Amino acid sequence: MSMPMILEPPSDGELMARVREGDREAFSDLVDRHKDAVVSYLTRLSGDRDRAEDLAQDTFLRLFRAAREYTEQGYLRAYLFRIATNLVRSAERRERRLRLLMPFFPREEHAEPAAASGMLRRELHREVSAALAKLPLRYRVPLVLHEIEGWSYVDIAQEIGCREGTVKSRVHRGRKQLKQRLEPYWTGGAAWKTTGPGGLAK
Amino acid sequence: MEDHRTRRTRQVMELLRELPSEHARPGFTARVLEQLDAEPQKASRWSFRLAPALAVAALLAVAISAGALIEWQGRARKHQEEVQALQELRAEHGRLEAELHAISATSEPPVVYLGGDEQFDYVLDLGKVRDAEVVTSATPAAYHIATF
Repeated sequence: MSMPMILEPPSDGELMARVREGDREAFSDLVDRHKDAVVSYLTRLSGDRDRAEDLAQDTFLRLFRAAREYTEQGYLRAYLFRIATNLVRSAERRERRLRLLMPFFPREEHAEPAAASGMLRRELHREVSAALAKLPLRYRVPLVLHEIEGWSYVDIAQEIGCREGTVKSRVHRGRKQLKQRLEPYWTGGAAWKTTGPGGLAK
Repeated sequence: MEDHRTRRTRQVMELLRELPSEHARPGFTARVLEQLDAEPQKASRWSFRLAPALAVAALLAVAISAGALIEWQGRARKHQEEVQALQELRAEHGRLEAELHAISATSEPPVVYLGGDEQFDYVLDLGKVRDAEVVTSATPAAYHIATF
């Protein structure tokens, strides 16, 4: 009785080697494999789901264009995250310049939380997301990579090109600033209890 | 027993980790591939538009450079002419000075021709001018502050 052959899916490195030759199917496989992670990461960084989707598409297009220069080091996702971070950085820089040129256009602001009212968990997540998006990028990136993506300080340091101590410091400052932005939820006056999908424990 | 601040930080980080993972919307990969397919056409359109613009820019650059070169050559020529004129003036001055020296070197005190007409010439004999200071080194009239 013969055993069925279980084919291992090709690794990222193998797919990238084929993408370098212009293989669209290999590229399609790579996109399918990493799209959710990239969209999720960009949503955390930008705080905007729709924009995250657009930036994610740009990320993969840049990956395709840079395929010839790409050197397989065993972690394509980190490479994708780096492209994504740079895209967010460029987008925010453009927006800052635009705001300087058009000071009379009202900026879209997230509404301040109604601290006295109770909140569903989903709305709370939305506010956390918004507060996160307002952090400076240099704190936001290491915070997201460490707290949400679960990267070690060493990996983050390698990714963003700084020392491990710097990463720890930025994560610490990111946490502090995020806590300050969410302070109204705790000082609003109402006492919330964590009862399943409820609010915050006071 | 954690303090208030530590508890807060822990709560915030828990909220952060609880943020739901996002998923790419249906058709994401297809859209990426569509954009990829559209790119070569965009590139050729752009190169089609860029080529004449680049040619015009190149022509302008050549014209401006040629104009600047002609201007520079003109200025250099003018400068050369000015230098030459100055040299000629200096040479003339030198000759006049030498002539004056030659005149003053004669034993006789110099005379100065004041003017005249068909019948008379008016000459001032400096030798006969009382207390006249013999000018041994004459300077051109333009340099005199006092005049007759």
